[in-house]
Amino acid sequence: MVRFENVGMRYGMGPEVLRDVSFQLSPGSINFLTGPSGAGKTSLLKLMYLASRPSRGQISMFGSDVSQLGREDMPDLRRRIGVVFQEFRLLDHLSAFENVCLPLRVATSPSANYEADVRELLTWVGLGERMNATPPTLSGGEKQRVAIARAVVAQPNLLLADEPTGNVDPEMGIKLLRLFTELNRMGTTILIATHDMSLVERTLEAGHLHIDGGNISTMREARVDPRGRPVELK
Amino acid sequence: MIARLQLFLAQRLPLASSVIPAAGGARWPLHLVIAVMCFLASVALGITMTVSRVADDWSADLAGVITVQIKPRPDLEIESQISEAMRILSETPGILSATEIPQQSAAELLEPYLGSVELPDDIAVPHLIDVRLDADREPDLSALALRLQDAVPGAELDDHFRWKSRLAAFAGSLEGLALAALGLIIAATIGIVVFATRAAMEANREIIEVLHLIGARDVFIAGEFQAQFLWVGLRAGVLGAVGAAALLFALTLFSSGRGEFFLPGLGVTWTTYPALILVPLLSATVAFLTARTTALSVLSRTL
Ligand SMILES: Nc1ncnc2c1ncn2[C@@H]1O[C@H](COP(=O)(O)OP(=O)(O)OP(=O)(O)O)[C@@H](O)[C@H]1O
Ligand SMILES: [Mg+2]
Repeated sequence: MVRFENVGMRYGMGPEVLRDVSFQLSPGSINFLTGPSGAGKTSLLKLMYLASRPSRGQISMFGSDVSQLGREDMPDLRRRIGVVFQEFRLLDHLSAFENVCLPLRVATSPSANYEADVRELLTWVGLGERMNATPPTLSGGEKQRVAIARAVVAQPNLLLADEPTGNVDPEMGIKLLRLFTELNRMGTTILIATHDMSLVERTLEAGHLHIDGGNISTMREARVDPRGRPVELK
Repeated sequence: MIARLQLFLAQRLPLASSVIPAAGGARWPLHLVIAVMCFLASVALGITMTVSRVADDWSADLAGVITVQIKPRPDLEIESQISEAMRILSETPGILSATEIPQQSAAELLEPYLGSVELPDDIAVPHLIDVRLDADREPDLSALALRLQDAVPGAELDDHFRWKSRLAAFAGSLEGLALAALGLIIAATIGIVVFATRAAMEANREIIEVLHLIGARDVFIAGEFQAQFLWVGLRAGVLGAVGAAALLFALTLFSSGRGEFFLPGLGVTWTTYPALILVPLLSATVAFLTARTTALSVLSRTL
């Protein structure tokens, strides 16, 4: 699904923020990415959602070598990836509902009837009452849930979530984790960057990558149930 | 069919909520500049159409008409000069009619130019014969001119050729000037729209990046900008054209009030006004294509 081999990355002329990063995510797995602030979690995710290019090494996404891809190939690849950005990156002039519709709107014809699904999803994350509010009028936790709903709405093959539970209470954190495992049960591979070790401990079948000082280590291999049984939460 | 059109519109035009926020009030300077461009283009168009119509009218009035001018000579009877000329004209094939124009005094002829002034009686005013030609078999005018000159001293044939060709040249150069102005106006409009599109894209850089990251294609993003600029072009174009129509109409009222002697009917005809519809359509098209091209080229430089 995702394979990194000796990947290095730097911003401009700066020092390498990722060094010799090698790992892989197996299809259908749930994985956590932990590490101290400034370790390079977001940078690693950026490489995966094709917002940055590595300065060296090889990245393969869905079986294709990213360095071989042209601009015109990017949209199709990106549509298979859902991203929860650390700073949400919602469109402030659109309502929560319209923000969540966006991935469907850019990918499909406007005739597609996705409105009911979007409503259902927003209700599920507890935003049934706030659908028509714009992001500036939402709380941090509410914005986070809109961002998550936008990332999962198109049922991507790969979900990348950067601190998706950073702004919500533990109860909502678990509820959102359940949303991710639910999505995973339908086949989505998941990578969650987090500081919250309790999430990692709760999800026993999940893989665990730890990054520190630009170096990555695999703490635990993900287990994928071949019969597609849902990942259990403790 | 209707449903498909609505779909198309919903996708292309920012009717519901556009993904890129319209700059709203911040856009009035752009409307103003494009409206001024459209106003100038409309005036250029209106004037060109009027000039070419007037030139055509005058040429048509003069087509198939020649004038024979006979200057009185002290040594000859003017009546015999005229009857000799009439005889030659009636013998020439291809001439429908020849009529002597009633003689006016020099004072009367010159009054529009000089006002009523006392003129000496002995100023010799040439006698004129109005000749209508058969358009199907026009006579050889230069041969006719030679025969007249030989037979009637003081006779001269005027086929208005020089006047007509100068009129055509005048109308032609005015049209060329208007065309050049139109070209410059379009070029300036393109420059403005390029500038404004780039500014709008810079202002929405963050949104464009998010759209790219969630899988939007360049044409989708460019579509947002081209739709906005299409409307700007259309609205500003209507504004400019309506303003120009009002001006042309006022000029027509003003000029028709004064019966000018040698510039009859310089008014704008009704056919000019429908032609002004072209101006907003043109400006909308120019704005649309320019915004689209600019947006696509800016986007092609992003990751
Ligand atoms: N756009 C950028 N330009 C230059 N340096 C950057 C940029 N973004 C991040 N960095 C640097 O790269 C390093 C890794 O940053 P990154 O955002 O990946 O960390 P992180 O693990 O996501 O941290 P956090 O947990 O605080 O979100 C940091 O030293 C940071 O200062
Ligand atoms: Mg980060």
